[in-house]
Amino acid sequence: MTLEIRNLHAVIKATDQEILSGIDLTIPNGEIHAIMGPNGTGKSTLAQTIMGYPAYQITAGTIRFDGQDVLQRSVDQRAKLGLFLGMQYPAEISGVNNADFLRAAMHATTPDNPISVLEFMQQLENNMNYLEMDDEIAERYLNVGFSGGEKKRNEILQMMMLQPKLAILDEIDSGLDIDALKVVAKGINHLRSEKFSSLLITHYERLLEYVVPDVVHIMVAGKIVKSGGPQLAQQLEQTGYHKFEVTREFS
Amino acid sequence: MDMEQIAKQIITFSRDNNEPTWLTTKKSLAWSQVKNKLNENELTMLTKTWIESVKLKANVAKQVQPKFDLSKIVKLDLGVALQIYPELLQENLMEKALAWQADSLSALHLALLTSGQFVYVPSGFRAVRPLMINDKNAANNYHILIIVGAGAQVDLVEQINVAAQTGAYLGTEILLGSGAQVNYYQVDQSKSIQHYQAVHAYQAQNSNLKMYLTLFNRGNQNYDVNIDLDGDHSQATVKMVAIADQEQAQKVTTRINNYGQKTNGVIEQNGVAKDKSKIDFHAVGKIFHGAHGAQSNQHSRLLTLSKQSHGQVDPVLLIEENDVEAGHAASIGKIDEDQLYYLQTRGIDRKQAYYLLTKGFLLPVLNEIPNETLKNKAVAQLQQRLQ
Repeated sequence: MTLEIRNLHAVIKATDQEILSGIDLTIPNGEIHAIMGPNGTGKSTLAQTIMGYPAYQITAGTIRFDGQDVLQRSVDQRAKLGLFLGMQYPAEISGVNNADFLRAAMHATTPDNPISVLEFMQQLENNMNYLEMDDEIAERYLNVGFSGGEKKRNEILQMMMLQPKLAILDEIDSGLDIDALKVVAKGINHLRSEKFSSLLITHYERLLEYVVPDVVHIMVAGKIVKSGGPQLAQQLEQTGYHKFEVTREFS
Repeated sequence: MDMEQIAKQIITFSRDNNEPTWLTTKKSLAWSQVKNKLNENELTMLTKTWIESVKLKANVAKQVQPKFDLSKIVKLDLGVALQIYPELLQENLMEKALAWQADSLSALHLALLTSGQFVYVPSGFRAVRPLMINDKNAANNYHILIIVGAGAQVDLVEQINVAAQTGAYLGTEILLGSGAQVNYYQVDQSKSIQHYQAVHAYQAQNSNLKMYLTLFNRGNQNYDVNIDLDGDHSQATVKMVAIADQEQAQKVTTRINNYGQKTNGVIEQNGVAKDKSKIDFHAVGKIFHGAHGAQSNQHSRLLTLSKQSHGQVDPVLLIEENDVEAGHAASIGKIDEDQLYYLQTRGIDRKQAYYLLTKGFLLPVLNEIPNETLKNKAVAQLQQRLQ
């Protein structure tokens, strides 16, 4: 279940502006990788491109997951392959009940293994308790009127219910207080296993203190400029991104 | 169609069914007024199957055992009611809420009237369970008269289906006595091809009417809602959900007239147009001179699901008084791409995502239905219509 990205170039369809300028990234099964980098460097674009957001156009390169060509598939087919994207700004959908939505999503991703209502309710309750969420969240409309923290927890809840093979979490830590951050980290660590890999996109090192990654990548101006162990994140915390931005300018 | 022949048959039918003479006279008058005003299309829409329904109906009303009792809820075939309560009907049938003289189509409706229902809720009566008004196989010209007495409280559910694939006119009128409180839920699943539906209400002082109208039929439709807030402090809310698909066209006009002081009218129309269908929403709030402190608000939203589907939203406020509050909002839009994407990232395919979002667009309106049984029924019917 390895994710392999080779020489990926992507532009914004509307403006033709290049955001990703040759990304190479491999995430083997069971590993957690983090991508760090300054604002506007293309981290979220990378996440959205892997999932198939229609506003971006791939101009070169490949993405394969478990040997399958990801770019040939629709968004929902990518989810069915086992990809998951926890979003920075999850959509608010009035009239769609959170629990009903989750059930529809579980049914869609595992059509051969339908889950009974009772089983579903139990799983939902367990996971919501684990993430310290209010019961009423299940019956509310999807993300409507949720606080920032509730939205992020709801993304993690969906991840725990859907049990993807690879979860891309885009700034899942932004706007969270320390208690909420710990809860979110607990959720990610809960899934950590040989069968689960994850790509964390973040500005800050703090999340990585609670979810220790196997590999840290630094991304600047649409490219990965350096990769290393978890200590790279701590190093960044002290030096900032400036050094890497300069390096790239001269290279 | 021979006009003179129909004129004679109207009289014959009326006499054969022991209808009161005032009605026979009124029907003849109505026919003489419309026969030259309407064009052939409008006439044949109803007259074509009229002869058939006359034959079917011929013997029904003869079996009446007159028993006059207005202390309980009365729910009767209109023909039977005409024999038991002729005075009550003379005063109210197509006179106050849906006046037969208002337009040619209404006059035609009365002239050719062969069947319908009469509902009477006595003053002060508080109904515990919703009162069902249904007919799975209604004639194509059908009338319902509902009278709710002073201070009475009732939930009404109307489900009249015209099974025949012809043209149809369904008329419903609701009269609310002072202080009456009515929740009225109507589901329209008729199969008629060309469908004219009128729902009119007349309200005395302090009465409160909440209407939940679901347009789940599959034919072309003219839907006409009119509420007269006549008594001071009367209030009405109309919440509507419409779905059109294939080549269907729905034209909806909802009008609330504020005559009385401190009356309050709210119109909320929500529609989803799929395929090559069309929905037109007209909303009219009129505050008449003298209706001090009146309120009139309206909100219309239309969701077009395909490039070929279209429609219009036409909000109108007509205000003749100064110390009033009025407002309107209107929108026509497509499915939100980011919402669609979000659902797809969870493995839900495009078709299912459209279904969920469409349902989500209409569901919050149905969820406001105050009666739990009615609400569940409405949601189930929405699901059925969307599939």
